[in-house]
Amino acid sequence: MPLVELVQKVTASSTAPGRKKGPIRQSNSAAIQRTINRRLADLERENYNEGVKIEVPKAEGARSSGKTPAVRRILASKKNISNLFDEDETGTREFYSAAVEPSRYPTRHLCSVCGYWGSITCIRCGARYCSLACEDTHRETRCLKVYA
Amino acid sequence: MPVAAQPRATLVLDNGAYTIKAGYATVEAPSIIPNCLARGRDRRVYIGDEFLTQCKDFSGVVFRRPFEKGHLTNWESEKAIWDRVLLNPEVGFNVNPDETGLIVTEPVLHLPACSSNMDQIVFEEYGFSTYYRCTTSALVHENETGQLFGGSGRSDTTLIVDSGYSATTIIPIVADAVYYPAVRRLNVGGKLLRNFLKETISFRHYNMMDETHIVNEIKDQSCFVTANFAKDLETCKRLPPARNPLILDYVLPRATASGFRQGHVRDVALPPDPDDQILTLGNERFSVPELMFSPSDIGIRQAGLPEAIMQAVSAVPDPDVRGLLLGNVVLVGGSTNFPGFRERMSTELQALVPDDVILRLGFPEDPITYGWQGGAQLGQQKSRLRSRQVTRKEYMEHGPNICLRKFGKKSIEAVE
Repeated sequence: MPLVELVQKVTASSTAPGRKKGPIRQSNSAAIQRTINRRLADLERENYNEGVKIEVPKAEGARSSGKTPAVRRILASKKNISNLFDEDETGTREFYSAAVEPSRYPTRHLCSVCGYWGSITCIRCGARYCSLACEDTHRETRCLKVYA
Repeated sequence: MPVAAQPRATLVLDNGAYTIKAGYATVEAPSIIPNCLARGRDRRVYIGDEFLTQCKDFSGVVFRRPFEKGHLTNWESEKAIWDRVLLNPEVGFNVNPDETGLIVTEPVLHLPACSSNMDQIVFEEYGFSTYYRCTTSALVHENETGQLFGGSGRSDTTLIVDSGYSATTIIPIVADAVYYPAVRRLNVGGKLLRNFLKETISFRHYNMMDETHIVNEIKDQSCFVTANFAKDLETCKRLPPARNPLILDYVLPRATASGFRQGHVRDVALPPDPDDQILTLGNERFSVPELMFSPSDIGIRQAGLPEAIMQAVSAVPDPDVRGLLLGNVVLVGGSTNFPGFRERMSTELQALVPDDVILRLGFPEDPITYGWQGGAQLGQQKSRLRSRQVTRKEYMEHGPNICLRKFGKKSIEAVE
């Protein structure tokens, strides 16, 4: 498998001692995990552009302010879910303790470029790819060059 | 103001994060209304159903939803949507709250503060005559679930799997009550699948990061759950596109002289229109729904849905109850609609279940409105509803706490 050898060679040379800011190996799992978490947070978004603000249109004959003080307080509330979690420790604990636990089976790896099996790990950022062609695409686009 | 002892009509509102399923208990089927504010390229803001009926151009639409992480947090927008659904003559419910009872759903594990906000809005802002708040799963459980298994009647113990927009939740109902210590939440829902498809298309084909709605349509029309992931992945890799049954051309929507034309899967029998912009989908079609079965593919540290169901069942202490739960699994929610989902779910779950347990999976005909259907059944049984609901008179006497007390406090502490 010449490709594997090539990758090993590149790995060896780029992490040779003496290089000040050498690219990290996949062992820097904290940095890789941070990248994954950031991506997962992005996948939770409603809109790509997070800054989008949509105002509620004013209806004619609007009584949008609420009929009672309690309702006015609820309608005017700007609290988001993090604020609400901060205020309710028990509720938050209950919510998070219901999370499904990790699988008992090993994780499989898919190519981050084409989606095929990703048998090779990028030595710079820990992403997976399947072939030289995908490696090139990855380096040019998504490689995050996570440094230790 | 006279408070009617028993309201004339009961309105059932299954208030999902993606759509509201609304209708009087006496009608056959609910209206499905997007639970969002949407702003088009023309800067106009559409509320709820206006988005589907009046919006002409679905490209570049941005959304605002009252739900965040499966909690109803923003009442400013939710009230605007409810106002339209309940009161606007165009929607057609023309609710007169004085004479109407309301059954409304909330997410399981909803923060008590969010639940209480809903109670206050229902009584103080709208002034409904009676009110019952419960989780969607409780309404699903009201259905005659026996029919799903080729029988009739209903069991008092059901395992409900609700694959919604924000997440997929697994809710064991034991003796007609949600057993909270065993509720499990898998962070894969329709939103994550759509965003993952959006990310993939944008990376491999065209930049569609701002085309939330269009990508959602692509997801609904062309994605499927594969029976054999490894085999299909090989097929996509090896076979040339012309002979590859898994590769599909999607015609992107576009503006024409006669108006906005919806996107659709290209009919291979017809010659391609040179003006069409084609999006060729390969392994995206099954890699996306695959996240439900293998969330670790994108680094979510959670087990897939079949294993997650087993985790929930194992959290129930009594082995007999576990058996009952596995014999009465009901799967609802929009993400169970993917072609192939049922077959894959059955095979994978069967492999995890002990030999001496009978596994029965129930797939309602319409998994999206099934919860509403149960609510409609409950709404017609006034005597059952009477013991559970809170009347406006009671609310005026006792304040918001009576709702929290009567609708049951969620507790994850195991019952001895």
